[in-house]
Amino acid sequence: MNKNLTIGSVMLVILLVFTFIGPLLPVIDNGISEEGARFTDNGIEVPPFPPSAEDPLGSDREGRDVLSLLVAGAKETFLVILAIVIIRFMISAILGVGSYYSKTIKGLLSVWSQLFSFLPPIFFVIFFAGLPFMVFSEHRQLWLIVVIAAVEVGRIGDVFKASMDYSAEKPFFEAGIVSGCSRWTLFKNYFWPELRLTLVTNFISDMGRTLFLIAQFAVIGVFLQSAFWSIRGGGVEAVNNSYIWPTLLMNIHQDIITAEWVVISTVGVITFTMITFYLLSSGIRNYYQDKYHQSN
Amino acid sequence: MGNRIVKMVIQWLAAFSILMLLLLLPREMEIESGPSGEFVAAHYEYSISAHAESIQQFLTPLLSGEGLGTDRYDRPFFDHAWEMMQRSLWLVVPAFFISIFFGIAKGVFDFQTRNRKRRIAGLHTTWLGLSVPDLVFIIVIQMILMYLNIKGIVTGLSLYGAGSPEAVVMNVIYLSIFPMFYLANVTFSALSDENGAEYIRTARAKGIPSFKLLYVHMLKNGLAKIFVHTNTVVLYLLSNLFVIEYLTQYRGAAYYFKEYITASSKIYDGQSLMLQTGAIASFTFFFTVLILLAGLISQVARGFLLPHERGGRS
Repeated sequence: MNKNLTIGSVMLVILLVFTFIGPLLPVIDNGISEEGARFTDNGIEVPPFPPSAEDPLGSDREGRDVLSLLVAGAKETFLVILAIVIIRFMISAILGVGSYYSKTIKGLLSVWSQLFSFLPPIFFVIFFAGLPFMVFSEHRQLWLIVVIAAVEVGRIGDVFKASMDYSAEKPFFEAGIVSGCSRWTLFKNYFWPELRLTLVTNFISDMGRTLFLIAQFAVIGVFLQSAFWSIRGGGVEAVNNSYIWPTLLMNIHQDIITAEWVVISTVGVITFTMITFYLLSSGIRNYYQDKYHQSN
Repeated sequence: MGNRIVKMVIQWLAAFSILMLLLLLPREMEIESGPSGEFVAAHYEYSISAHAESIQQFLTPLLSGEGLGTDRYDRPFFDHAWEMMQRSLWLVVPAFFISIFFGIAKGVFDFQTRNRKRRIAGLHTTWLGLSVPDLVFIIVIQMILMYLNIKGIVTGLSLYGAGSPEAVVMNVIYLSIFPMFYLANVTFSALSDENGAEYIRTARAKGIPSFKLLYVHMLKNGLAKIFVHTNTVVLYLLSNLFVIEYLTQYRGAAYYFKEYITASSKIYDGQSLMLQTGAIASFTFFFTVLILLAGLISQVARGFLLPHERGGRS
């Protein structure tokens, strides 16, 4: 009985229901309407409203229902982290697997990971986010996704390389060479089974890490996407216009004191997602280890 | 070891130069205005000559000894950056040692209790610490402190800003949460790997007490694997420093770096995206040098501590 995999799958189903069925529920306000003030028996209330029957998780400073915001942002959140992780893993796979076959690629991977070992991820991304061609680019979101993906390419590439080296050292690999397998067969039958496990488990756990990373960016006020608003008197301002979960953390300094429900629900849903990925990743690893009776 | 040190310095130089090249990208932009002066579009075009010119403009005062410029209070950027860096070092350095010390201790505890009932306090808490974002712990601690404050049990703490010792203590705790669990996990797997080794069996057969076996033999050999991760810990600490300093308004190096590097989100004219390159260059210098120093120290420490390395290889 694989407890991690079971619990992780159940949590994943909950997340999928939240994302895809959520918008159909009657409590969800898909228009994300803002509410200025509310008249109650005790007088006038102004946002942020605490949790009530109307807003199960309360509302933010603009009077928008937090639960609706979380449901509305779910799809985009998952798309963004999926895009980051897919780009990261494509580059890392080329570098990591390639470094077994080619010295040039091996050198490239080592330069890449050593270069980024001097650049803390958040430091580098905010450095990049302020570059002139980034601030007012229409493709800002795409740019930042690529940059966030690139920061960790070295680490994942090394993981792939380690998996290749691990398989190549095993006695069964020599058996493959002796029996005259072609390069492709060697890769498919001798490297791939181990590589696939590394790929799947790291892919899933990286989605959790990435979600947390973009949440950290939101805390310090760096957003992936922006729209342009005209300012009176000429000029233009870039403002965040997406409902992606981390944007709810942008007022965290004030919210933690006066509207803690915004922080708790956002961080709660992010934590739930991260634990889901973590459980799934270690559950899948256990599943394959049991299946092949590997003892690691 | 000398070779490795030279290699690290070269790597640092490369990383720093690339950051400087990016920083000194030309930043003028052309603003297209409509008939009544309203904003239509902003155009940015890169040219090598403009880039070269901006690098020259940066280097000329530096080479003639004028330094990196001054801020509006006439303080030299470099001194200001160093002062702020010292503030941040009060957080980073203790957090580094606390996370290493407690991380290894926790890893040893996890290893000792792995098959007993107490593993709930051992392995399971490490698992929780790794899968739950440290932001959760920080928020929970902050809310508990607020609750205690409201109830009048703990009052008079000033936890925001950079003036008070209690703010430093709390920030050090916030910073070291994740690296500690990370190192606990690394230590646990290093010890598990050593556990099966031949020399451990020999030592056990000779009747060495398990306490001595764990601390003298296994941990000492396992340290090699643990020290590989010090760079990751430093990177994580510096990365998370931005979040912590912003969250608690601790005005240190990360806070000011963020303030300086963030180009204006508003464009009025072609000069809107200009930055204080001198300030950013100083902060970048200190951040990367800190990583370099941490790398060098861990390199030297490995030379002294680890049995394999003392053998004379490299």
